[in-house]
Amino acid sequence: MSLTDRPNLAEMIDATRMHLETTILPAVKGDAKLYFQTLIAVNLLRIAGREAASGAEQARAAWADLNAFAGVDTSLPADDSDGALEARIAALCADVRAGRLDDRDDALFALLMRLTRAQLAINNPKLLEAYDRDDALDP
Amino acid sequence: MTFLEDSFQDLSTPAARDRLAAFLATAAGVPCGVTSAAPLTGGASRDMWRIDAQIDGQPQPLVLRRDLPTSMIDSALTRTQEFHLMQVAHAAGVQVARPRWLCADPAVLGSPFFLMDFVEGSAIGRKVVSAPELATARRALPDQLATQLAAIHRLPLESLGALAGELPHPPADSTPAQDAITQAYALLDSLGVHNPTLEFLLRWAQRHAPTPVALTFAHGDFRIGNLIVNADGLAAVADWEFAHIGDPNEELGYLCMRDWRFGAPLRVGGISEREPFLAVYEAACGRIVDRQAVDYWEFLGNVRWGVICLSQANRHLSGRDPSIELASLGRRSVEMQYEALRLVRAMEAGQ
Repeated sequence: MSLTDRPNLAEMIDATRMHLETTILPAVKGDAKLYFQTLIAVNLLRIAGREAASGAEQARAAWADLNAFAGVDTSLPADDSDGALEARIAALCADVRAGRLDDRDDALFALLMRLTRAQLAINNPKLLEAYDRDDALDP
Repeated sequence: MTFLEDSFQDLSTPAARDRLAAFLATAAGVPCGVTSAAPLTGGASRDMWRIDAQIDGQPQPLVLRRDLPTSMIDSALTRTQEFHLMQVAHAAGVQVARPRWLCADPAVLGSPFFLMDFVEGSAIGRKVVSAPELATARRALPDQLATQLAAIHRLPLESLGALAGELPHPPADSTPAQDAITQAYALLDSLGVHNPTLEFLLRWAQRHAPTPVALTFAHGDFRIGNLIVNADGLAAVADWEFAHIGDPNEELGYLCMRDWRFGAPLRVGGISEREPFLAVYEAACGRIVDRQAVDYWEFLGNVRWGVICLSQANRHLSGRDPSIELASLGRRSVEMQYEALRLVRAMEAGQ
């Protein structure tokens, strides 16, 4: 639910992406640099669109992963305005750097694999698919 | 840091071309003109221009390399150092564009620059690894790169003269790996980044660093994308600004990084399997390469590139250097992080 009229966030991102792709890209074809930069803009809007669609769900999943790793059962505030997830990540970083988690390598590795794959799914899902295809061929 | 004066940022204007022609005439000691100047794409950290000059009536295509307002990495060499280094490499027979004239005075074109001979070819990574017209070049490239890298690592440090002392090198009480890790931590902290994956990778790097080998001269950015390639193969090794004294295995691992394969499958820059490449390098360099150390440096190269992506994005985010290309690198960092995690898994499985 939102107070604002449509288009909503995801729809505005998509409309802008569509405009760049269908109108601007063909118009700047003759300028290699501008064309390349516009392709980057299109890609950033694709990332933003995926994040708008699944970012909140991914934050909840990350919170649950952190719970499982720490062996606790806390809940992520519905509106994480005080940055609870960020604070928890920062604490994890400090623990890793200080070597306090050296004896939990396997569990930590598994946690980071999940967090990293979740980010890759937003930033570059095609690359993630290519990795998984390779793994399926050569496990 | 010198900021370019607006009037000379665009070298294609008649005023800028006149100034450049006047500099050339003084430097070369003959009448000179500049017919055209056009920006070359590809340098994220330096301003590069294709210059068509008339040197004493003879047409001479040149490349001008100049500082941008913000530097990519503060440890990068100055144009003066880079120019002298290229002279040494050129004299030693390394395939490098012939360096011609240096202008250290920022008053001439807004910031220091140098000119080198233009080398025909392409450095665009994706093209080098996949363009059909470069198929012959790709067959020649692996041996050429191995031989060039060996020649670079065999450059006697004495031939660098005073420059040897100025080149970045690990502190006496450290190692190249430890130094790289320390710098990565410092960069993360300066950005205020909290990234648990990068923290884990750096911690792992610290706990698994290989025994250091004898330090050598190192190019610092030897990869597909920085090598000018023509139809026959390698035309010139470019981008010397990250040259340093370091571990030669670092460069072998760096050349193998997934991101420098530009989508092609083969491990060495998308153009060669690793073993035959290393065999040619070993024969040319006269030293045996520890494969596990190369694995390690490929992994650490990914970690460092993952950190640098974030710092590149920060150039945009801080407002210092607004650019959508720089901004987008922030979202590419995780690609290097995931690759590095996978390399950790492979290294641990191999032990």
